[in-house]
Amino acid sequence: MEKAVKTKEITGWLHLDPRTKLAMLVLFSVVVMIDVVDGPAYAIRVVMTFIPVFLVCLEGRVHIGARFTLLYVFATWLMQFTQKNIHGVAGMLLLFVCYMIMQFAPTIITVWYCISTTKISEFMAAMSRIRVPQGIAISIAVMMRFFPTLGEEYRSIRDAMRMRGISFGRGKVTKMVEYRLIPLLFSTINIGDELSQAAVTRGLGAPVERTNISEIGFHARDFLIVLVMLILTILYVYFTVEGGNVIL
Amino acid sequence: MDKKKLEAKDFITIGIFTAILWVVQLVIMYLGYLSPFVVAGYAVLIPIVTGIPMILYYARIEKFGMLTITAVIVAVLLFIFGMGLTGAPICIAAGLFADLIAKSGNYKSKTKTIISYGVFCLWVSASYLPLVITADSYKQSLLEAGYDAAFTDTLFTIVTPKTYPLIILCCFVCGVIGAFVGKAVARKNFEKAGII
Repeated sequence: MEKAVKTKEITGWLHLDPRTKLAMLVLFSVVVMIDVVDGPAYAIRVVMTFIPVFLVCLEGRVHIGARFTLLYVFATWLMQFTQKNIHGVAGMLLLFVCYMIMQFAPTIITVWYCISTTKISEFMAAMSRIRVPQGIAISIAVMMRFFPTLGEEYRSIRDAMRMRGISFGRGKVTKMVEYRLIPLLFSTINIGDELSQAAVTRGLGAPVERTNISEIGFHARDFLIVLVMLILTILYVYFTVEGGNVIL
Repeated sequence: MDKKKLEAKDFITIGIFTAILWVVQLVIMYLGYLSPFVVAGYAVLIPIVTGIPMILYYARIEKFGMLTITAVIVAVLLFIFGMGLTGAPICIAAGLFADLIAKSGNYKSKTKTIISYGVFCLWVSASYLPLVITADSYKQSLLEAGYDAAFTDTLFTIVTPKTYPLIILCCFVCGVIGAFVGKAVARKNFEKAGII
C-alpha cells in the first residue's frame, strides 16, 4: 500500500484545478459518445484526443505520451490498411482491435491523466466547492484511489498463480475467473478495512465540516484549457449535426 | 446498528466495490469487441461474473442508500466512457429499486438479496440503450468504419428495439443466476475464511 501511494501520484507542475479536469472529462465524453469516421469532425476528435496526451507529456511523462501516440498512429494506419487489403475474418478481427484502441484508449488516457495528477485532498476540496455531497465525494475518491491498487494486486496475484503453474489458456474459463477474482476480492477487502480504519482514525466522518489545506483555484491555464476544449466540442457537435448524425 | 445514516466506513465500502464492479465489467467489455455475439452476451456475462463481488458487497450492506450511490457512480462512469446519458435514468432507477427490495428484507433475507441483485443488473441494459435508439446512424458509422455488413447485421438483429425487452429480461434472469453463483462461491471461499 505504501508503494502504491508513492508511485501513483505524479507531482505535476502544471497544477490544474481538479474542476478543470472534471470539465475536461465531461467534454471529452461527449465527443467519445458520438461516433465519427471522417470529415472535419474527425479531425477535431483527433485534436481533442491529443490534448490530454500533450498534458501528460507536459507533466513529465513523455514516455507514456509517446507510447500512446505510437499506438494511436499505428492503429489508424492498420485500420486503413485493413480496410483496403485484408478481408474476411482476419480483417474483421484486426478492425475490431483498431476500433477498440481508437475508441477507448483516448478515454483511458484522459481518465488516467485526471486520476494520477490529482491528489485525493485536492479532489475532496474541489468536490466540496462544487457542493457534491461529502458521502459521494468520499466514495468517488476511494474508487479513484482504488483503480491503481486493483491493478497492482492483480499483478501480484498473477505472479503468484504463475508460480503455481496456473496461467491463462490452460484449464477452464471458470477456473481462470476463480483463481483471479477470488484472491483479488480477498486482498481488496482487507485493504478496504485497513483504509476505513485509517480514515476513521483521522477523523473522516466526524460530524463537523471538514477543512482542507490544499490550494485549488482557477488560473489562466485552466481557463485556456477549458475554453479550447469547449470550443472544440461545440464545433464537433456542430459538424456531426451537419453530417446528419443523431445526437444523444 | 440502529443508526440509519451512512458513515465514512460505508462510503469507503461503496467506493471499493464500485471500483471492483467497474473493472470487472470493463474487462468483459473489452472481450466484447471481438464479436457481436459477445456484445449481445454482455447481458449474460456481466451479471453472472459481477455476481461474485456483488454478493460479497450485499453481505456488507446494512443501510439504505449504498446500492443507490453505487448505481449513480456507475451511471457517471458510463457517461465518461462514452455510453451517453440516455441510460443513466435506467441505471439509477435499477439501483434505487434494488436498494428498496433489499431493504424490505432488511439486507439479510437471502431471497430478497437475490431478487435485488437481479434488479440491480438491469443497469447492464442501460449500456445498450444508445445502440437501440441510434441504431441507424450507429450502423451507418460502423459500415463507414469498414465493418463487414454481415457483422453489423448480426449485431442489429440481436440488439433491436424489439428484442430490447428480452435483453432486459435476460439481464434480470442472469442477475439471479449470478446471485446464485455468487452465493455458491461465497460459501466455498469466503465463509470459511470468516470474511462474511
